[in-house]
Amino acid sequence: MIAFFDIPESLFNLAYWKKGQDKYKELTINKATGKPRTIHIPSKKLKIIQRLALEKLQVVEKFKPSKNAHGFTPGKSIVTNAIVHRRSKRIIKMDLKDFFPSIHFGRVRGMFMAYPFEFGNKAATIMAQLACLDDKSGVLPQGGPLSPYIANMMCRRLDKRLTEVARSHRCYFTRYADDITFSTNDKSQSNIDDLIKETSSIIESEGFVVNKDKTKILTPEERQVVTGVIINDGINVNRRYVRNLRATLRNCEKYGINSQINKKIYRDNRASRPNLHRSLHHPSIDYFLRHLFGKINFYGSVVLSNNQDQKNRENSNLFKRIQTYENILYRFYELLKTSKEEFDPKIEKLVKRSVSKRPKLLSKLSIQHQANEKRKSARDKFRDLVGTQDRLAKLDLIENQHTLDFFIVELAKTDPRFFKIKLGADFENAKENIREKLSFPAVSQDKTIKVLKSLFVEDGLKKLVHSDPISVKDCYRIFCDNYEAEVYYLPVLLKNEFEEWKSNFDKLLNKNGDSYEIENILENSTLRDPTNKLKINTRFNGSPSSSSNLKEKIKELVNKIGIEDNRVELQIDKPIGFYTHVPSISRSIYKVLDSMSKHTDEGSKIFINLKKIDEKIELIIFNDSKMPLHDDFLSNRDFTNGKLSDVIRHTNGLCNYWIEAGLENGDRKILNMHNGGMVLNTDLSGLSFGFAHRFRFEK
Amino acid sequence: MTKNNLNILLIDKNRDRLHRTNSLIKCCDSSRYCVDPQLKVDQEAYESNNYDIVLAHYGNKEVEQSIADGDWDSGGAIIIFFSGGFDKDKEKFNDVWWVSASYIDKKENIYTLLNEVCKK
Repeated sequence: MIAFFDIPESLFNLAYWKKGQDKYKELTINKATGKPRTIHIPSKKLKIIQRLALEKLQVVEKFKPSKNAHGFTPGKSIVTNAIVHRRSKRIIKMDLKDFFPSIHFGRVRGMFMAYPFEFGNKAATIMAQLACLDDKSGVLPQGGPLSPYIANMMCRRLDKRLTEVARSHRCYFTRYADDITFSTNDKSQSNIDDLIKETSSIIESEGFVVNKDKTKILTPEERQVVTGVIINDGINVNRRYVRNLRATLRNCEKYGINSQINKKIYRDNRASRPNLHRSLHHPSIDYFLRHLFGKINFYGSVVLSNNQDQKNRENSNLFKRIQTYENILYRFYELLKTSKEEFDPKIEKLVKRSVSKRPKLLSKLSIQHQANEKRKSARDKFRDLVGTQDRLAKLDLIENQHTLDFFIVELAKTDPRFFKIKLGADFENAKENIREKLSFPAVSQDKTIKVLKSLFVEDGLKKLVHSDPISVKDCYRIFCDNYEAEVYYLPVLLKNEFEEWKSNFDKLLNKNGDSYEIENILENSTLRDPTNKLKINTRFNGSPSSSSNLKEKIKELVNKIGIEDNRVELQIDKPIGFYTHVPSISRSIYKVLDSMSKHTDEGSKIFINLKKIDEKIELIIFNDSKMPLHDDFLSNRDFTNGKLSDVIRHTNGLCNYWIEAGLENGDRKILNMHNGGMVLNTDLSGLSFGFAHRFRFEK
Repeated sequence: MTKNNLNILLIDKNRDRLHRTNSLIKCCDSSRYCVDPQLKVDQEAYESNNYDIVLAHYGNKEVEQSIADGDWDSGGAIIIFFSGGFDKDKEKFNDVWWVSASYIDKKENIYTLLNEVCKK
């Protein structure tokens, strides 16, 4: 016997001959109905012996339970039990009363002596002693590893007889532990009555008792639940299950995983394992995560059992369930990936394995998707900000054009997007337009400079405008680290410039996959021209073929406007290089020069000066007009016309933009054109006369 | 260029490439070129050593921020910038040469470049 089960003799003796209560620990938990259920947990050593015995018994072909038994059988589950009965017009559910307690020592011993086991007297006795409680009752304990198997084997003849009855009544039959289920498309009540009658009689003759209160006949018009799984429209779990999963994930995302460990995951009376665990030990994050993953996996096994994966469009409900499962699984994966809490890394591997089994989720893990997610999360983060919510809430409360105008003026003080914004006459459309703009962040000079600077920082976007070999995957990693989180904060034209360039990396990715090695970006047929265009449009005064020359550009603009050569003096002696958005700045210079040429008196000249001040570069366009302006001038930005409003918008985020002028009282005044604020006199340009437009860039 | 020996300041923060370029220049004509290879350079060293040619990696901070912007006085030295980010093999603008890093990775190219620069 010991040799057959391969159980160490010392262990066997220790556990088998041990007497008293130490063999089992008694525990009471709640059933789903709220009634108590007594569980007997075997001691560690006894558990090992029972498991070894179970493993040996289960592999012997003739010792296997009937095909209709789905409970505690390898490869079968409550889902396989339920699938058999889907799309049936009548479902008949019956329940065996006190299933485990009705199997006692004598029956177990007899079973092991009979076919198919045919153990000897002593061996059968030992097996029964090993499996049953050693108290007066001597019944099969709920909680013993061997108990479900023995119960299944005990029911072999019952299963066989019930299969025959089912066949004679044109029914399908399954049994999951003590849950007996028949299903048929024959709606006749007499057929069902006969079936129940015959079944009850067989059950009783097999030594079990039918729990008559639990015998139910289910029609398609009501919720057909078999072993906890709903089978009305494909296989499904109940809504509360999914809602609770989502809620738990949401709470974990919002408040951290640790905050959820002590909470009851499901709001029903069932004692879920974390609660059971909590009563014995301290709650553990690993235990919680494994439990949650188990719940998600169970939901997956249910929705995927509908076999709608390939032909999923045929039943959109079933397809939606698969999508829901995939979303939940992916959220769980993301939660583990982004969580700062420490947990067993094996859990993440297990989850990743599940994710990788779903082709759609696998593609979600792609580097391109990660880049998109990073961008999306930056946008969502902005939308979650109190300030954003507050502005949107204020906008909602606005009921007339006058209040809306005032609201826009206030917005324009901090956000040049709203400065002299042109809105249609329709109030609601105007509100919608403002709402749309408010859902995206204002341009940030810091973030814009950060992205531009990364074009010459070793680990930044520089790698993507250089000739060194690089994989497509690494390109996206660089985009993720240097660009995606800032993209919504860039000036729109600069953003479009980068987006157009990046779309060529997308082309390369779609064509060749993310492991494709780009030998030399500057020679790659897809990337060469767009990369060079980006360089020319983001750099002044670098190498001649891959940057724009500011001096030449200004000469071009002067000619275009038609200002006489003797009225303009270019003071750009040194080729000071800087990163910006060349088309936006060129357009701004054009508008400023155009405006200056019209407003500068004929005897005065226009100067264009470029100089370096510490780490900053200042471009000043000024005239030598000696005519002072009225003292009230430059107290706000109201004097700006369409041209200067464009300059404000185009330079927003790329540089500081000030206007400086001399007044009648002899003072010089500077106005910050991006926010309308006055600038301290200490920031004066050093000019003692004339009207000046000053653009200050970061080097 | 009338001198027989030409002082070349080579600046490159990439140590391997610095040594490689140094060797390649020496291979061209070791008696003619006297190379001073530097990982980085400060204003004093740059302005006080009377270099004839400055071959500088554009990715070095001091090269991009000070030499290219004309903040430091080159004392009439011919300036050649090289970088992996330059598209064209070599081009000249306002007496400054711009060459790609891959171009000066070959001995014959360095030879051609220095000859062309020295002719002037």
